[in-house]
Amino acid sequence: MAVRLVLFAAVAAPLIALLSEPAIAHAAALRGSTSSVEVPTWLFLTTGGGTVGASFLLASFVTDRAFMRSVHDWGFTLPAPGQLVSLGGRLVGVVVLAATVGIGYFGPETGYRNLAILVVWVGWWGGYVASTYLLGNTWSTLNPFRTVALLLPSLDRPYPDRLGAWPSVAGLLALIWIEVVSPLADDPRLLATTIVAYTAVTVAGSVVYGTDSWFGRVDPISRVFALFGRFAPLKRTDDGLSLRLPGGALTDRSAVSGRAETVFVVAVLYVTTFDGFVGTGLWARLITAVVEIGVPPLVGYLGAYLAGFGLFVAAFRWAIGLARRFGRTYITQAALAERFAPSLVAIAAGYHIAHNLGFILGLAPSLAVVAASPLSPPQQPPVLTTLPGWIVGLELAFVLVGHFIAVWIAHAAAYELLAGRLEAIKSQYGITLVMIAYTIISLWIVTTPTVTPPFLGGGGV
Amino acid sequence: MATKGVDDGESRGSSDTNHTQATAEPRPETHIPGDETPQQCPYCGFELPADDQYQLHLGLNHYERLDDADRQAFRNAYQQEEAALTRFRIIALGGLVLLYFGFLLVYAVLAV
Repeated sequence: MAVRLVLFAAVAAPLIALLSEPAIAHAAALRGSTSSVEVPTWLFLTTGGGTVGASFLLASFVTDRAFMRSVHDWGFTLPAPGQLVSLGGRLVGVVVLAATVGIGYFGPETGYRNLAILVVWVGWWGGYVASTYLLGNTWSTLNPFRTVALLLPSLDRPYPDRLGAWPSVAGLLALIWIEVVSPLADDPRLLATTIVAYTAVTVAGSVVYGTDSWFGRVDPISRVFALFGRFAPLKRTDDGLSLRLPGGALTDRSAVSGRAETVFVVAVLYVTTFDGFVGTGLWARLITAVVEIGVPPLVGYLGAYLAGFGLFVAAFRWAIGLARRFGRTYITQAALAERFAPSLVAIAAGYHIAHNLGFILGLAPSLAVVAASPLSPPQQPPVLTTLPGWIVGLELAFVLVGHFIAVWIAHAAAYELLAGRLEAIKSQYGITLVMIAYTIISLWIVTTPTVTPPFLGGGGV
Repeated sequence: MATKGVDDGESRGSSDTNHTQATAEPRPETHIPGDETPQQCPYCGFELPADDQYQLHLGLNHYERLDDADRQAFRNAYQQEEAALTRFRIIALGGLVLLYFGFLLVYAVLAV
């Protein structure tokens, strides 16, 4: 193990040095505030990584299985909202979808003045997604695509089991690919067309396989929200709303099942990272260099996108391989991966809010003002340009809290699977190293100044 | 390697005591490397490396059904594990101290 750690450090150190901008970075406030302690970027990043490592060491002191279970089982039940609220939710979902498409086509052409752009990127992808992991997953009710599909008859063809969750892995990668390389965040017409195309695909899919099969197994968006919903404290059950600790439901045996679902969890984590990564100066320099040697820009983007995904999957598998060896168990890698993968959902949630919080707060006034008069919005909708410095601190805190919960979930999973307590701790070496590396990468992406990705022709809102 | 593991686990699962296992909780799939002889739990059919892991599994999952010899073996394995855990905790504490003071020192030098 010691040799391995030294090797890891040898690999990690130049990587961190590479990620570090030559200039001195601000530790606490990178977007304008002046009252911050200045530390070198590498130190700031390794501090984040070190904190995650420390949380693993702290968790290793907890070896009482009964105590762990009592933590995860803590919770109580609240009365559920009635049918009327669900019906209202469905109606709201459909109305928002119709308004988004309509105003996307017939509203102003400028992105930041068009309600469709603001609703999708600020309201939905920013704010609503955050609500699925901070409160609970309401998408199965609000989902306007599902409501539309429910109105149509279904052929109810059996969904081929061998496909499992693979179509949703491909679907998620494809959706984020389109989002990254097309001016979807700028061009309301294109956005409206994409939504119409997405509606057509999902409705056709539900008509063939039935709404439950389609939205339960194929639709990538529903699957992302279902995963985030497992992190959330509130969950709808037959008895009402059950309240649990954040991440509690991720320790359930059934949280993730099958190889495809494990890869899907890695994909959720990866796509948010790639989305942030293309906005960094490092990527701008890399892709410029690649294009200069004659590679078409889109091929460069696609190559990096797929290679990065392969790297994430490989790192996760490497960690699970270590878990199997250090855990001294005969449990298959696939079965171990199923129980360790849910911990990554906590990281993805923490990273999502860190990546989007400033963006949501900055553009929330725009959303409100444009929503008030969507067809004739002001020339310059109001934005909060200078957010207080502590917002960035809060973003960093979310990245770290996500990792702490992830360390705990992996710890709990190891204790449920393995007989020996020491083996259960050692089985987390790999996943902890991967999490430390990921903390460093995501802290760097969140704090590095954002630049427009070159060669794509769109800047985003 | 992992694909092979799943296949082996499934074929094994269908041929052994998978369907008659006593515990309600489904046990994870296993894959045994060719050169190792696993110890199979007589109560639920779960395969574990021989020695302490096996004793610990018996004691943690089927304590009520064990005879006195097995209970004693479980207690011994658990106590030995306790000693190993204590050693690990000391190292972990050392790691925490190193991390804390290491960063404290670096910050003191670089971030005044």
